[in-house]
Order: sequence, then C-alpha cells, then structure tokens
Amino acid sequence: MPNVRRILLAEDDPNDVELTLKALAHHNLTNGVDVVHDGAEALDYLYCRGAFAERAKAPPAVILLDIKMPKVDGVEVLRQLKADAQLRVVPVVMLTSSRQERDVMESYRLGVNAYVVKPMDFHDFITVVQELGLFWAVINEPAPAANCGSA
Amino acid sequence: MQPLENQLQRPGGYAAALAVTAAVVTIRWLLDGMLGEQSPYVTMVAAVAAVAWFGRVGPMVLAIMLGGLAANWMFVSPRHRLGVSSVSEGLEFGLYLLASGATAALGIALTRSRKRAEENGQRFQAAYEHAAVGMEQVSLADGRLLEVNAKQCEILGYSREEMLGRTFEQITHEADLLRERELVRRLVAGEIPSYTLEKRYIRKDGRPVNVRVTSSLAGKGASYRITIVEDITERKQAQEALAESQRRLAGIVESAMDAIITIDEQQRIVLFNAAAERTFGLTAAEAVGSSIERLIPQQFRGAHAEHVRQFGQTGQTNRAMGRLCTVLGLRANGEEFPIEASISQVNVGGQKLCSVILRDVTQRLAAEEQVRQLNAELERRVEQRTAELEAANKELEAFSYSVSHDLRAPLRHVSSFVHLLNAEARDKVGESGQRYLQVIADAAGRMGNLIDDLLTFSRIGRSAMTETEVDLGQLVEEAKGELSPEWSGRSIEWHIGALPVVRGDRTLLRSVMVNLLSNAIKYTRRREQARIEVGASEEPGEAVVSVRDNGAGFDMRFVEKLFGVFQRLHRSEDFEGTGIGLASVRRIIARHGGRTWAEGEVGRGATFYFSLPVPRNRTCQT
Repeated sequence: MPNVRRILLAEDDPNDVELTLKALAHHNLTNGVDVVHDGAEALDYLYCRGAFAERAKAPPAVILLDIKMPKVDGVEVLRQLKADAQLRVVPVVMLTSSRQERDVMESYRLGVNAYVVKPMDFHDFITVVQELGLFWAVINEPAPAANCGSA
Repeated sequence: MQPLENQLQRPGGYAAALAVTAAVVTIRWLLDGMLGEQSPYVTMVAAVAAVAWFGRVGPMVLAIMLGGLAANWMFVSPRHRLGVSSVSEGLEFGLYLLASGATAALGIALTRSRKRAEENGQRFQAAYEHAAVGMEQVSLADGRLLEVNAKQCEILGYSREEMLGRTFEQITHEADLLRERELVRRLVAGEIPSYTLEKRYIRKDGRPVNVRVTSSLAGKGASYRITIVEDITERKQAQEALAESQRRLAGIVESAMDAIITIDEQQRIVLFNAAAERTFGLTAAEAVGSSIERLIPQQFRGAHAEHVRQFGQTGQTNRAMGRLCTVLGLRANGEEFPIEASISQVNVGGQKLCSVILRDVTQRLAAEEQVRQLNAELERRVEQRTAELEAANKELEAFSYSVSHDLRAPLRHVSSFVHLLNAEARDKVGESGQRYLQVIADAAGRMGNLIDDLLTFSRIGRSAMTETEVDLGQLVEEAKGELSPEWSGRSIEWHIGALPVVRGDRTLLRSVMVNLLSNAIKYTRRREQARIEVGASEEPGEAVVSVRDNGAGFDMRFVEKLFGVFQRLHRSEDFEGTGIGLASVRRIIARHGGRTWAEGEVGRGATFYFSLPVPRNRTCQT
C-alpha cells in the first residue's frame, strides 16, 4: 500500500466529525486523520506551534477545511496557508455546507484545490468523503519534502 | 313742341280755318249793303283773329290768304276781280296783312303760352298726384288740410273727402303734437325755413303709423304750408331690429366671462367689456382710447407690437396667442399675470379692428402646477415604495437563504445518524422501531427537499441575469430530455409547436421549462394516454407560451394560490411536490418583465401560460 500521509480535518461540529471519520474508516484511512476544531487550532497545527509544537514536521497530504468555524474561519485559514511559501503547496479541500457564491469565489481566488459541498443525503456524504480521502490521501502525489510553515 | 306738330298734321284745323273764313266772308257779303266799299279787309282780320284762337300756323296762313283773296275778289272794286288798283288800295291790303299777321302772331303766342301753362299744370298735377310720398297742404290759420295727394290718403287710410277739412292735429298722435306745434310756430314765425320731424299719424282704423314729415311754407307770406310725408314704418322696423341685434351683441360681449378687447390700427382700445374691466382692474371709460400697451408688461411691449404688425400684414385671422409660451398681462395695479389669448381681425368700414379674447389663467396654471407637483410627489413615492419593496424582497431572499443554509447542517445530521442507526442497530429496534426510523428518515428527506427548493427560489432573485438570445424550442427539447427519467415507461403524446426566440437568461428560462414540463408530466401520471402540448402565440409586443396537459387539473377558484410559495392544490399523497415550482416560474418570468397565469378544470387538465416581452421587429422563428 502506498504511503498514506496524514489528513487534517478542520471541523467544529462534533457530529460532522463523527460522520466524516466514519466515512473515512471505510477505506481504513482513519489512522492518518488529525482533527482540529477551529481555525486557530488548524493554523497552530500547520505551523507546528502551540499545542502542536512537538508533532512530526511533515504537513498533511490534504487539509479538509470547513468554513464555518469559531475563532478563525476556513477562508481565513486558507488565505494564510496560500500566502505561506512553505504551506501553499499543501492541497486544501473546502468541505462545507455553504454553497454561497462568495465563499466559493473567494476560496478559488485564494487558490483552493477543491470545493466540496457536504451532501444532505447520508449515502452521498459517505461516498464523497471516501472519494476525497482516497484521491487526495492515496492517489494524489503530494509536494515533496514539505515542512511546517514558516510562521 | 310736339303737340303742335301733331296738330299740324291733323286736317281738322284747316277745315276750321276754311269754314270760319267762309263764314266771315258770307257775313260781310250780307252786310255789303250797309258797308259798301268800306273796310273790306278789316272783317277778314276778324276771321284771322278767330282762327288765331286755335294758335296753329298752317290754318292761320290759309285764313289770311283766303281772307285776303276773298275780300279782294268780292269786296274791293273792281269787284269780282283780283288785283290792286290804286296805291291806297295797296296800302290797305298791306295794312291788312300786317294787322292779320300781328293778330295771328299774337294768337299763336297766346295759344302757345296757354298750352304751356296747361302742360305745366298737368305735369305739376301728375307730380303731385302720383308722387310716392304723401303731400299735404295745410292751412296756417287753422291747420286744416287743404289739399292731399293720393299717397297721403293711402298712408292714412282715409278717402280724399274725409281728409280735407280735418286738421293736421286731428290725425297726429297726441304724444307728438306738442313738439310739432312748437315747430309750426317757429316755421310760421320765420325762425326756421323748414322742419323735419319723425312722428306718428293715426290712421282711420286707429293704428298709428310712423312717418317722417318735412314741412315748409308755400312761399313768403303764404297762407298755407306744404308737408311732405314719408312712411317710415319699414325703416323703423329695420332700425328696431338693428337696435335689437346691437343690444343682443352688446349684451353678449358685456356678459362674456372672458375679457374682450378690440383695438384699432393705432393699437388704441376701442372696446373693453365688463370682464376686461374685472380682469385688468380698469374701467372701460379709462381704457377706451388709450393704447393697449398699458395692458402689457414692459418687457413684452416691443415684441407685441411687432407681433400685431405681422399679424395685420398676413391678414390671418383667428390666431391664438400664448400657445408656445405663457403670455403675461399687466393689471392696473402693476400686477403681472398669465393669460391665454386668441386674436382675430375684422375689416369694418375700411378700418382694421383687432379683437383679443383672453382669460386670466393664473388659477388654472396654479392648479396645473399643483397637479404636476402632486404627480411628481406621487412618482417619487412610487419610486420610494418600489425601492422599499425591492429592499424588502431582497431582505426576504437573504433571510430565506441564510435560514435554509443554516438548517441544512442539522438536517444532514438527522438524516445521516438515522441512517447509521438503521445500519447498525436495525435488529435491535424491532419492526415498529424500524418503521419509526423510516418515518424520521422520510421526514428529514422532505425537509431537505423543502430547504433545497427554498434555496433555489431565493437564489433566483439574487442572482445576476445574463441576457442572451434564447431559443425556447431548444430549451423545451432540453427540458424534455432532462425529465425523461420521470416519464420513462409511460406513453405521453407530445405536441410541441413552433416556439419563438426570446431575450433572457438561459439558465433561468430553462428552469421555467423544466418546472412546467415536470408538472405536466407529474399531473398526467394517472392518465392512460397523457397528452402534453407546448405552444406559442405572438401578441403585440410579447410572446405567449403555453403548456397544456390533460392531467388532474385544478379548481379555478384557487387559481391565485397556484403561484404562491409552498402553495399546493393537491395532497402530497396524490402528487408529491413542495409547491415551489410555480412560484419559481412566476418569479423568473417576472424578472424578465412577463406575466404568468393559468387555466384549469378539475379532472380535465390544466394550461399554464407565460408571456415574455419581445421587441417589435422580432418574428417567431420556426
């Protein structure tokens, strides 16, 4: 099995976390999933600081980013990521309930790699999450030798 | 001297001359015994004198000659022989000729003057009797009518005998008597040479008759006066009618509500009616005779004079002034005010008179201004309301959007976890538990649909419209294709007519067709042979598209509810749906500037129409 890099899931709603993890479990991808619950945490994680100062330096294979999060929202996280020389190479997938035009537009403008609206139907949700995980974490080739962000 | 010539031609005179001469000769012959040789010619002169009475030259000459010859022959010695035998005889003959010649001449002159006098008398008589005016001769002493002519009798209705002997006072209307008496007095006293008077006579039948009399003395020291009488009944009537008509016109002018002013060629006011007095604050007495410029504000006087001059030249009548701009008038108190005027021209007795009929439109203009202001105010308010409405709509849409959006997450959780529960604990909940779970899942699903529909609906108003040429026919085919899964396995008779190309947002119009066709397909589900017709017609300025089905139809009483948000006329057990489809259609078509309406009959089917504005030079394309 090819090297499965970690997946970072930034999601504030615990129910959605549970559902997402369950979906990812189908393909045995849960081992490599790190969960943060808001944008600030996400940034700490990516910049290897704060609570995550000691983590392994390699950035995740993909960041699944919710938009509506407390403290720092998804779009802001995206902005910072894509502005960072090191972290911009990390694929970001917005995984959100919002189909609002401005969110979509802003995300693409900032250089998001994919924008996925969480399906209402459970089955669809499961499928989408699985495919996302499969693709980004397994199929897709990540950028080589990336590092923590240079805060 | 015509009569004389006539007489000469008549042979009667000559015969008379002959007879008279013969008679005198005979007498002389008879008297010959007494007279003898004495005066033979003298008697002949008598004959000549007798013939001279008739005054005719021809017979005269005959008489003289015959007489002379007869006397010579018969009475002058030697008798029965013509000739002059001695000087004295010759002298006597000569004297005879002279005397008879003189007598003849005298006679002729006398006759002629007699005849002239006679003729004059006749002429005068004719003039008098046959004149077309009445003539009287009135005694100065007692006023009696001495002579009247036929016309006078006719005027008064009396016979000649009845008139003569009456006095002029008796036949005069008593109201006029006093005046006439005074005039007669002055006439008689020599103060005036004649008088003329309009008076009334009283006819025999008692009716008064209007006359005009002119009376003068019949010469210095005469005992009577001559009066010429003119019947002026007709003239009086005409005068009366004229006065009546003048009074009427004056009345009309004076009572008119609009000011009427007439000016002459020198711009002087000739007529100024009561309304003009009121309008300009000027009495007619003050206005008449003064220049019309006093009624015009200073700054317009030059232009006005020019205006009137041109008008006078072109000879155009009835031109309205003040049609292009407000004309101002000037009141006596210096106040300027707006007027509406029309001017016309009339030529009377060689003089050009200009009439101006005008009205003070201060109040009307003020009213118009007020109306204008009210309209502007109304417009402003409408705009404001529309803006408010737009804002409210937008707010509503934003609200629906955010609410639906926020509802999705928890709904998703419900649906997902129910599913998980079903998957993991199915056997633990038992049959009724499973049914409960199914109910929950269905409910969540329906809620999801509602939210989706609401989101779609709210997006319609907020999204930008890209206007392009849209082939509706093509759209229908696309929609039909997209919906084919919904009618797979069913037989539907499709009748799609020629549909026009319109201008609009392709995406939105597509969803309109999808919605309408989807409905048609859905509501004909229970028909053995479903029939769906899509057609279009062109009306002035718009294209009307219709989608007709022979499905379940609806009750026309509730037609207004059809297009309401979430309004349904059928139970969801019969036909599923959220009731947002038609509301979306209406909203989209409204954004395109069109209308939506529907007709239906329960059990027979329904037809849905929408209109889209089409620029006039567009034609339907097949």
